[in-house]
Amino acid sequence: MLSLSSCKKALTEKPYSFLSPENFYKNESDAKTAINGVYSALYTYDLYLQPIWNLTMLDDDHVSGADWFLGTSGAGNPQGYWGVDGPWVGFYTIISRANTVIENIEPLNQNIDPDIKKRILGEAYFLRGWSYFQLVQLYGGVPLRLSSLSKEKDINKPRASVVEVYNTVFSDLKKAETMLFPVGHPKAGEAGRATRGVAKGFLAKAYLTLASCAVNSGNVVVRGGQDNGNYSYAKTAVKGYEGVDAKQYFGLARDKAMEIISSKEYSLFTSWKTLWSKSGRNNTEHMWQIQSMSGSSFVNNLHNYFSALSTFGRGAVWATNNHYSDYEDADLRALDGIAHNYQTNTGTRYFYPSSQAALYRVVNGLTYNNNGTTDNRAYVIKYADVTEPTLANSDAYYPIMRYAEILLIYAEAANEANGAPTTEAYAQLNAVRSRSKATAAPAGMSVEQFRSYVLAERARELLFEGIRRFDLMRWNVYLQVMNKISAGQNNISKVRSQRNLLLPIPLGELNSNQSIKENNPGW
Amino acid sequence: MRKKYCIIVVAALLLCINSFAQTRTISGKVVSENGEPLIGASVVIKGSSQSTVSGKNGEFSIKPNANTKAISISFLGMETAEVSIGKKDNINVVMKTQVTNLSDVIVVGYGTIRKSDATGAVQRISREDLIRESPTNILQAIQGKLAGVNVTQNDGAPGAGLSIRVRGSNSFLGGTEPLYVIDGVPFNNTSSGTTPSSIGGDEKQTLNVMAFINPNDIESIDVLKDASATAIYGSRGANGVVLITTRKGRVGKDKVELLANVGMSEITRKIDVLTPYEYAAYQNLSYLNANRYDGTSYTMPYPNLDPLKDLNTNWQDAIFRNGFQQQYTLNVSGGSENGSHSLTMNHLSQSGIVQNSNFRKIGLSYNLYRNIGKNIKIGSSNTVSTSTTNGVKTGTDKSDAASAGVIRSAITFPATIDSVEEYDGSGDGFFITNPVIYTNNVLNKVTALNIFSSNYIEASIGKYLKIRGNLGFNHGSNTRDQYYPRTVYEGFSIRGWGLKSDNLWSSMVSEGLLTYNRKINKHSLVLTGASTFERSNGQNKRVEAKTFPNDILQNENMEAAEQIMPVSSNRFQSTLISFLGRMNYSYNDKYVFSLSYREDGSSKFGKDNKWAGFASSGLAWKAHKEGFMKDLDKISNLTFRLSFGQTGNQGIGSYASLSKLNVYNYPFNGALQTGLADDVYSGPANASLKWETTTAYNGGFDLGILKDRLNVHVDVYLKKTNDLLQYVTTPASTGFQRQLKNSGSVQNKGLEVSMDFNVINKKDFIWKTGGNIAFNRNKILSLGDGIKEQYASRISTRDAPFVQLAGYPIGALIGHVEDGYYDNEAEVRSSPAYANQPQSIIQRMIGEIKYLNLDNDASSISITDRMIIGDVNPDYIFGLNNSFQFKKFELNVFINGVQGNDIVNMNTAFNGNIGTSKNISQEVLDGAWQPGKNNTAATGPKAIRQFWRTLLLTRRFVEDGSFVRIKNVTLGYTLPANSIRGVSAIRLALGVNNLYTFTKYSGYDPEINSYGDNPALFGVDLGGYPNSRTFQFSIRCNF
Repeated sequence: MLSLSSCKKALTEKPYSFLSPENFYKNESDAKTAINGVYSALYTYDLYLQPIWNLTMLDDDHVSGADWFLGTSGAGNPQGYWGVDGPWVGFYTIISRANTVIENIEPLNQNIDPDIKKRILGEAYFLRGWSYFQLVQLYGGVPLRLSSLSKEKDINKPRASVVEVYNTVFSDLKKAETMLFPVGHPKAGEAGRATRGVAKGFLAKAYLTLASCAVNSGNVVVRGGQDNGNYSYAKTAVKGYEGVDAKQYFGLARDKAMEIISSKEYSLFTSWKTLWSKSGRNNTEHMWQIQSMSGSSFVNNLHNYFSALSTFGRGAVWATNNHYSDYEDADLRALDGIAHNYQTNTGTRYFYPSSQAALYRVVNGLTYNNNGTTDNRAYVIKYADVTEPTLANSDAYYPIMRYAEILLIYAEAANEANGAPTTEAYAQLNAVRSRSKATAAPAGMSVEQFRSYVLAERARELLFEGIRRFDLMRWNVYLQVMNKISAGQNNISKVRSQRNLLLPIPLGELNSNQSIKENNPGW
Repeated sequence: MRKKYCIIVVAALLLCINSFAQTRTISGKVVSENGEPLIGASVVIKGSSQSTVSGKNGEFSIKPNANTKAISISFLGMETAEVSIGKKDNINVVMKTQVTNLSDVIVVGYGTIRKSDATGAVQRISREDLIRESPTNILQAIQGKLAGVNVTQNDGAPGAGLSIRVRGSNSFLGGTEPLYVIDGVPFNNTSSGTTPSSIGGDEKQTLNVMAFINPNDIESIDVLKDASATAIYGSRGANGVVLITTRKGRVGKDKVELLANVGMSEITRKIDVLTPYEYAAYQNLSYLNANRYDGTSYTMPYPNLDPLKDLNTNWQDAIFRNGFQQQYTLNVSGGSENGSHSLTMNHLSQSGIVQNSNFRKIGLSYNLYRNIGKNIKIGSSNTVSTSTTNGVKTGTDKSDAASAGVIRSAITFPATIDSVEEYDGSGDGFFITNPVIYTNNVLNKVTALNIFSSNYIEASIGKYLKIRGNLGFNHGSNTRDQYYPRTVYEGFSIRGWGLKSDNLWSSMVSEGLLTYNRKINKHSLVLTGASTFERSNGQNKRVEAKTFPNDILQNENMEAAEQIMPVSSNRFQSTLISFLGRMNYSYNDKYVFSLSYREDGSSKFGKDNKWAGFASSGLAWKAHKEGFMKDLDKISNLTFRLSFGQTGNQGIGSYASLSKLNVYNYPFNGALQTGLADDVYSGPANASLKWETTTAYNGGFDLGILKDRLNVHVDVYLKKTNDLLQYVTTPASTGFQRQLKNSGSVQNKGLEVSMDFNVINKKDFIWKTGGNIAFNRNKILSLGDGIKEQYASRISTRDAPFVQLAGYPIGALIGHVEDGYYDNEAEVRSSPAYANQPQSIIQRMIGEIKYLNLDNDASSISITDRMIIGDVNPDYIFGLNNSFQFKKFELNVFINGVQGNDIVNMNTAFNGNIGTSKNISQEVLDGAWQPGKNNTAATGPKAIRQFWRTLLLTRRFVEDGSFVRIKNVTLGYTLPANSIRGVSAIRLALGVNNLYTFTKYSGYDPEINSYGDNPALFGVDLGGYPNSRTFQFSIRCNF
């Protein structure tokens, strides 16, 4: 017969294969492990392993591709896509882990270098603020959770207003800005971590987004439709952003962008090809990228979907011919940035575009094909240089923020804040253009012309970097631009309705969070 | 037994003394019905104390005195025979096997009782009923035979798991599987618990954990259904208890039995899909409609249909075949008054009806029992079994993906492709691998080793007290080998994907038992007390790698891969400590009263809730023994039973109450760094986690008429389960997705009737009929504080139709409701959901499904427009058996049925989105909406090549799964005894299983349950392995 105390002992569980949070967070190594766990959420099937770019990069006017791949998110049917709940789950996972780091590392004063502690907290604030910035753009106002579940037990939380979420974004990013080290600092940590410049960059971008959403007058001209003509659309404030002082935030965006520019921490690559090569990763212009690692499970299928060479024969996503015609012939972004001659896995050779057959049909004595219709695919090189290009999963890095965008943020914000393009605005815009050997932007543009020009320039520069859809959204022209096209190249449906402006909140959240009564409009 | 032995010894002594006075000698032979000599039968001269025992060859001789009129011969398990001796000196006695109902002893856990003394609902299946259909596993053998025990085959694959539910579901996630107790030792595992993980978790199919037991080794199965019987198993009794008693050697001459069984199986039906010609025409139509309604400019994929006219490609024919099975069992057994032995060797080999699938098993079992001196008995029963299951990929929840398995490939692979080609990422077949390649090239093998051992030593202390120690061991080891080569979709783009995963599991049970059994006058009392200690240990690991230089070595050389996936391992332990007591008291064999209590401590639960007690009591009244019933001589049995009890369910894994840090790494600048964070899926810690408690009431009666020629058993019950274990959805915005909690309650109530009737009982013709029917109603009473509704996991990449709502059963389905089709533009425009849409959307909605708008928001069809559209629980289940015996022939017909249940047919969801390049059924094409036709009878939207249509889950994918099945017909013939020299008995049998099924279900077979023992996701068809019809021939010889 067993004694009572031996019973008790026998019934106490002994975990063999996992650690318990109770006796963790004791020293610098634990703190590092904890912050790494926050970054880890980026590399999941909730976020950058697909849902993020599937839901955003496939959903703009410049994208075409295989109908089977663009049939859900790419056809305005995100709910048909398995990853539709991913962003909500993924960004909140980051937020909750960041909260845990903040709560547990803040009180830690021993066994840790105070500078490292500060940096880790800075990373946590950055990741939290950045996540809220993504959430507010995708879902509108969302619940603000600023402490972990173990501290704040109530699982119910109502949606905050859009402006309230932005205020959290600003305050978190401002904290991060002061706590993080500049890139290259000996204590800034490994490449791939958030640095001071990244926090500043997203602060500028968040100011710019809030400001441009709030603009409630004037026009935006967007080239598009079936005929690739210039169409002018009246600008109104995005729902939820009404009443915000746009000018003030444009000013903040401009100043923050200028801080980064004047810090000289970053610079543009001179070669477009090097920028997108393996050697360019984490370097010079790339301020923050989603990291990857060949031969591990940290690989993704960006390359396979977005490059000419693919296990599908040819990649599933390419830029439209209309967008290609937005580049000057000598623009490196078209010349080097688009695959003009390539060979598939099975040995077939293709060239692009059919309209430039004289240049690309026969190169070095080899003949390339293009039937003029379904073969006319502008494959972008941004995800092509990977370690294992013949595999479905490889180590493409995904750019989250690039210095060129900072320059364009500056140009856009300065123009809007000033009510007309400034010399400095032109200078930064042309810095981006001249790197790609594009001619200087036309002088003497009005505020609206300059605005529209920067919008188009952002599309040219940041093609397939997850930017365009958000640009159309914040200028509130998404629905008009998309529906102007209707059936796009390769029969991709560009038809969109009101509900496409925001993603649906996951059913699980609605069922369990008693404080959210309604989904986003149309869902 | 011992008593009888003593009497025999004493009688023999007396015989010696008296023999001097005798003159006449009567000699004879005692044989069984089969003509086997019975050794050790007791032969007594009536009215005297003279007796003897039959010896070698069953022969005896005895010297009666002058006034002896008759002798009486008795033998264990036989009806006592009385023979008047008259003037004959030579008497041959044929002993009849005892056919009794009321005096049967049944196993009730930690002891046995007379069946007539049961106060609760306990049902037994005897060996004869178990093995009649030559089943390959014991659950199959139970199916349909017990009222209220619903056994469902998960799918038709050889070696596949079966689910069993006793009196409805009590739980959302604790499992519905009953507790199995084999020769007194609890078997602590489930099918899902033993099936090693697969690549991508794709395989929902579980392997049958009970496959290691050979049905031929079973003596009897007793199923405890109500709480007064199961409460003795405390925290594990809530789903019922299945007590398995293995076969022991019998006292008598050594016996050798050989059983051979061979069979052939075939698919019961095929799905009627389009021929190449029809398929091509359908594809053209889809493209044409896209250009017409969607503004596209496609060219026709099949401009010339003529060459396809003569093609007859049907990919189902390419993967289905006739399966064969053979099973051989050799048993050697025997025994004497000092003990018994039994040794069985068994080999089973089954090839499935889908190519490349098979199951092989070799089993060995041996039982030894021995009396040591007068007061001590020891016993040991052991089973060792190894098996190999070669599976093909079926039953996946990848419902709209290319990795959806071979069955879906066979029904959707384009008919116009008529050659077997490897997957190459292009062409019409691009969405799924060719079914033949898929079936034949993929390795998916599970190898299992099971060892089960139950041992005891029992000592009698004085007249009334027995002390017993039990020691049981159980070991299971399962390994999965899996490899997707580059010739199939899964392995194509990554150039080979290999896996080795295993789980090892062992448990140990040690028990001490005291039994006090005493009869004083009319009072009869049995007291049982015990303490038990059980510990289970398990671990699993998984090695996975991608990108191999070639496919030659498959998964046997993982280090050759370029991409080694993170290795994972897991180890766990659980402990259960219990103290229990039971009292059975009967007065005058009329009134029976039972009382039991068990105190369980389990390591799996929160630190605040480790211990709980479970009590029960029961009452039986044998009314037929009352004086006033004496005159009603037609009624041979009338017993009323009433019981109450509490049981628990602790079917969750170890460590569920703790919070965990999980490994979440991240590569910085090409170098991997360790990361740790709270485990998203295990949720926050819950120190108060405990078991589900079921409180149950049972009332019933047993009626026997005409000396029990007709027996009827009726039970009604009410079960209420509180503190349901469930993963309560946590808002994803908290960073956790769910938390395991005790929350909510569910109720089951039901009625069970079973009956057996010996309709005709003539010398040369016997007709017995028996049947059972059970009704169960399940209802969720509450989900717990503030929880309005919960959803079980998704059953496809998108749909989660299993809703848990108070007032509805576990297994209720929620979905949208269809309201015909938009016939023209004006109709689309008039719908508020499309009023303000662009013209192109309005245009393409013509010929599409109209969904009913059920909420206040008319502008869109959203999740709030759904309602309850189905229920997977049956209204009733039944089984009906008829057996006819004509001279040496025996015909047995067994029918079972399930009525009123729904099945979620995810196959139609897979190919029902008409217009993709998947092949479809004729029925879907015929029902499609067509422009310019009268569409009042349309059953589906227009055929259109598109990727924007999302078919919402409606009754379209929920079908009536009712069926009545002629489950088995067996014709047996017993050769006359000793017709072959050296063979004492031969029985031949010809049988067919699944002869015919009456059902409206459109899939292969309505008996499908792709999620196995998951109680929350019952009745889903994920493209499971089809069921088969099996023809069998068996021969049983005794030597």
